[in-house]
Amino acid sequence: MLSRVAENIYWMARYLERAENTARLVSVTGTLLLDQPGVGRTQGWNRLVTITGGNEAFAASGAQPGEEGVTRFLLSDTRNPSSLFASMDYARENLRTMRDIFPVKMWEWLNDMTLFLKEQGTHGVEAAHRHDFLNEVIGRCQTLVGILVGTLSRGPAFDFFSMGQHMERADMCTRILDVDVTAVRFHDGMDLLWLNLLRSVSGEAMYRRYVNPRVTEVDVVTFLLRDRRFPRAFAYCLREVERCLDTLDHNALSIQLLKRMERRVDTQEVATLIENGPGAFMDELQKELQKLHELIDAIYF
Amino acid sequence: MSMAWSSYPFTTAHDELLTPACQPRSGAEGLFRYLSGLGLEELRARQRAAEATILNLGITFTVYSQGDNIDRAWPFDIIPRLIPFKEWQTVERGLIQRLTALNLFIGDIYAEQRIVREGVFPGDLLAMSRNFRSQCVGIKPAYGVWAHICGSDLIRDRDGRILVLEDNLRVPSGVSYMLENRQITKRVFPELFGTQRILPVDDYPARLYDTLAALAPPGRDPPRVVVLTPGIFNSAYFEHVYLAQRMGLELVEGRDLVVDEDDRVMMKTISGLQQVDVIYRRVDDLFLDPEAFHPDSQLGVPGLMRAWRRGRVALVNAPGAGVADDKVVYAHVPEMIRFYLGEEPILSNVQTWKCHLEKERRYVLDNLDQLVVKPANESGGYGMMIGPMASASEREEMAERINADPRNYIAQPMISLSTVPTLTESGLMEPRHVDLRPFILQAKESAVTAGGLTRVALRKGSLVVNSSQGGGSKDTWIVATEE
Repeated sequence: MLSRVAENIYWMARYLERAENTARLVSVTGTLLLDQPGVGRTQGWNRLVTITGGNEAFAASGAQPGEEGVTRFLLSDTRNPSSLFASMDYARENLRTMRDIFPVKMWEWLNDMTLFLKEQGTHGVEAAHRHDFLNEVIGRCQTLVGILVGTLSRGPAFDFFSMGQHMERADMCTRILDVDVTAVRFHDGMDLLWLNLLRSVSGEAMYRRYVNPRVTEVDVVTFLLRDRRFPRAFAYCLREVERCLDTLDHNALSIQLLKRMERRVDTQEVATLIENGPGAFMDELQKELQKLHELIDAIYF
Repeated sequence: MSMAWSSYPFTTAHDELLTPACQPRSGAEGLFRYLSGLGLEELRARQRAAEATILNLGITFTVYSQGDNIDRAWPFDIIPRLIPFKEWQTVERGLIQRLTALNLFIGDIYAEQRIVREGVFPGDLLAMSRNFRSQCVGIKPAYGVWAHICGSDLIRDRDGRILVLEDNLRVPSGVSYMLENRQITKRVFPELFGTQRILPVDDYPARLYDTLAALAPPGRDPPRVVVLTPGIFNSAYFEHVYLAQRMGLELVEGRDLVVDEDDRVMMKTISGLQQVDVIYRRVDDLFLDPEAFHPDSQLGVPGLMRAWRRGRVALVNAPGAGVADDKVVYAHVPEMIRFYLGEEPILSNVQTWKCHLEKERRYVLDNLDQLVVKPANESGGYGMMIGPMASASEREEMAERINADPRNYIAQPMISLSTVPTLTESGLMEPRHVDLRPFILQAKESAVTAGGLTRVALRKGSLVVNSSQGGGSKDTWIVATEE
């Protein structure tokens, strides 16, 4: 496979994953915040900007903090390079240059998706329609993954796609876990917060079934960091990236780095992590992920 | 409601579906009956369904300088254009004869130039040709073939004769639309395919692959074949992707390739450099290799011409093939066929005046209001003047340009392109002018597409069929009649 194409696939996967994650994050937060009183609600919305790493862009965009400004910024504002609309546009532009690699259905899907976003415009972003709109977006994203899993040959295209997808998921995982625990601790919203985390990765049902029917902070964080069966947990994502790298040449350095990250996550005492605030630890994981990305970029692209 | 053909507004041109007495032509009876039975209302509904399909499939073409929105949906008319199988067999033989002669001509031009020495083709024309590449002199490509893929534009005149309007030997495009048009028509009129014997077109990618693979340097089995595109901003990018995908080949850009110190062409992959044997290049000659041509070309691969000259890689079409893709050379094709093959041309040219000959130039300048004037080396309808529709000042301007550079212009009579019933935007059935671009493949063997791409001028009365200038297309059916 051409290096240029591999790079395009990897980024397309990241954009698509980012779009789906953003949709899920906004949708879940919107529902949960309905149970929150006034100030907490605004703070809850603003936190989404931080999670997606958009603080600077948000300030520059002049958008107002709070529900309306934040949802616009995260969904339909194409000046925000991580917004849902912008991510889909990037993904489509990337796919345009490599339609020969993927099942025809994938192009039809993405083409239809951008038409759908254009059609819905800012309308779907409004509070009254948002839930249905985002549900539709998430459903469509899952259809895409279904197309790829069901019809794309297991080979470099699939592996680079999966690598991009799981790098993005791992990154997302560290971001949603980067919670300012001390700030919430004095509110009653603690349980809601952990539930929100689970739902942001569509993990509530799997957590209750496989881990603990009750939502506790240590179990939730352990699940999101270390679970090897849940496809959006950090450790699972690392394993999948490793599987992809295993199929490629010149992978020694990147696999070494992956193993080190896995060990770190496995040996970290979770209760202490929560007690001290997970911020610093998550920052370090993000830096390691960035290092891994740079290695992949240098060797294969 | 069934169709009232009696109000069909015939023009003076030959209509391909109907005789002037409003009866279906031979072979078209089935389609005629079917369309009549369906009625306008239903046809409109199917046209809308076809347009929705095109949008959903993302069948697009690219228009230069349209700002951000460079992709446009492919304009398509659902009423097919039909040619009887028997007539097509003659056209097919004519096209192969023509391309065979053209390839002999190109090879001759880059070798001993027998045709010039024997006085059949004027040598000074070559000296002035913008598409003559001195870098190609002395090269002997496999099978003596330079133009492996040719798209010839055919028209049908008032008398119903099929004539050749031009030959595109550089990087002809449109074949993907021919294939897509058939897919759409199958969705829109499935019933018709059950009752008619319509020749399939879908084997083109396989034939193209065979042609390409046959050109690999000896000993490279299986050869690595790639499609080289200028990139996403090229107007035919859709087609480059389409063909690469249908053939299962890598679609590469110039920056994906390097030529090594042994003059081998290598592509950069995730597992290192891999040797390339055949390049189906959709990049113009002058942008192929900055070492040999435009030094500032970003699209090309430095050293590619070196690799080709050493026979390390096959380029398809070969560089320099465009020397025959010139409207002045075109005018000489009938003589070429006689000279190289000792045969009479099966297909005729459109009558052509060459402005470099003083007598013919005088005729052209005196009759500018009657003639169509074309620059020798442009494609896509750029730079041409349709005399009867041009203003006095446009004609004057053209006269000046002809006098300044007579070698670069030819003129032809106003041809009346034949018409085919077409659903207009207002939902009526009216005649619209069409041409036809079949694609001819030549390497070890020759093959012609069953039909080709029918382009239609969607504007009433217009003769310009180019998609960049308001043209659309139709599916083309070669129909076998029971005998």
